[in-house]
Amino acid sequence: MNLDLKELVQHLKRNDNTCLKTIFLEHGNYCTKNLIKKTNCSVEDADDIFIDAIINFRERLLCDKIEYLTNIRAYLFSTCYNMWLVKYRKSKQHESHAEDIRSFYKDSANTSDLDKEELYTLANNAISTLGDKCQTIIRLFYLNKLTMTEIAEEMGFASAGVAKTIKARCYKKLMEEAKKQLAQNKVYLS
Amino acid sequence: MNDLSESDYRLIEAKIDGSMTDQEQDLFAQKLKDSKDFEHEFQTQNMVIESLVQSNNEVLRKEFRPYLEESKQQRKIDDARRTLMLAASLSFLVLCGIVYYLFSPEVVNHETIYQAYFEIYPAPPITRGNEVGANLSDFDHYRKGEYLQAIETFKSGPQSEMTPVYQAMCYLKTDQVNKAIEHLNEALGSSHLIVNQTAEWYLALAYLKENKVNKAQGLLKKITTEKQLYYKQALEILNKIS
Repeated sequence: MNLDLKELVQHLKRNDNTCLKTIFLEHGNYCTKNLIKKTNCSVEDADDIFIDAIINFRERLLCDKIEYLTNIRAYLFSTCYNMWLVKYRKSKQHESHAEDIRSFYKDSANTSDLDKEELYTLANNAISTLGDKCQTIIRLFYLNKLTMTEIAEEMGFASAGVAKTIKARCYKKLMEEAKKQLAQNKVYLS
Repeated sequence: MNDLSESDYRLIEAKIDGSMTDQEQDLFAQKLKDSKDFEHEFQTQNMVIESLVQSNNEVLRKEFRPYLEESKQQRKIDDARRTLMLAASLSFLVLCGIVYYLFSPEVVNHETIYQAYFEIYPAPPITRGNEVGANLSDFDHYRKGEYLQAIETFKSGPQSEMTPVYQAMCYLKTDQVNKAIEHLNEALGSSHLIVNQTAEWYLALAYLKENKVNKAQGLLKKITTEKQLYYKQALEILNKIS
């Protein structure tokens, strides 16, 4: 498949994920089937891993970490296999199969008492209290990985500097709101 | 709640955004080491952003799952289509085979025809008097099917008009067709009708064995036209080879 990565990135930055459907249709079955064959994992695990591999691929594309790809199928399959290895090693260390929220936060918070869903709700509640412009700018920057120049272009700001200032203001509001939500829900980080 | 400055907040934001300079990196590491409040603030902010990202990923997972299901369905359809095509191709091939078997002209194997129609000319019966003057004792090997020895016997024994035919029989039985043809041609010169007609019949068979179809056909037509001894067999063979 001749995949135009630049075009794909443009779609993803516009929050159009349907462009990834072709990748699913062309490589989904191959990757899951071969992962099961190679690792003897369950169908459900293979499906989850493949979807995560696509999310990882999307993230890396948006962060400009993939500039050139000769064989997307081989790339996706190796990502799937590496993800399975991580999962397998974890299970070997007798860790809980349930996804540990701490793994999301790398070396940061001790959130052992926090529920993943609760945190998602809290973060989403916090962002929903912001105005539309702030919500958009936060989402474009942190989720769609747009640069300040791209945000300025997208949102009609005069320059990247203006976008940066507005984003900083929105970020500050988001954090204030999130802290309020944390206090209201009596969630404390140690 | 804490005594962090504006620059501390900006530093944390820069860290989360991944836009720190080397100098800021060092400063950040130092602050993280020195200030619990700073560390706590960083953890909180990082958690909020990570939660947003992971929450978005959950949405993506739900969005992508139908794509994966569709890819599997598509694959199943493709597999079924491929199997169907394969089955159709195989059926077509089998059908072609049947049609070919039923309607193709039968491949004529001249050797098979020869084998089907060739019968060794019988040795004269052991009775008083004999056919065209053959010496009965000369036929011992011939009767026993010892054709190589019979050839030698016929060479050295008394010759009759039928001797070349018997010799030809021995050569045909020992797969020396050219020699058989020589002797049969010799027998064709006989004035004796039975010898002549027998020679013509076996000569036609010898030509068939040699795959000289035109020569065989010529003789067989002659046999049928003249209604010779072997005309029925000749007619059958002509129907098969024409």
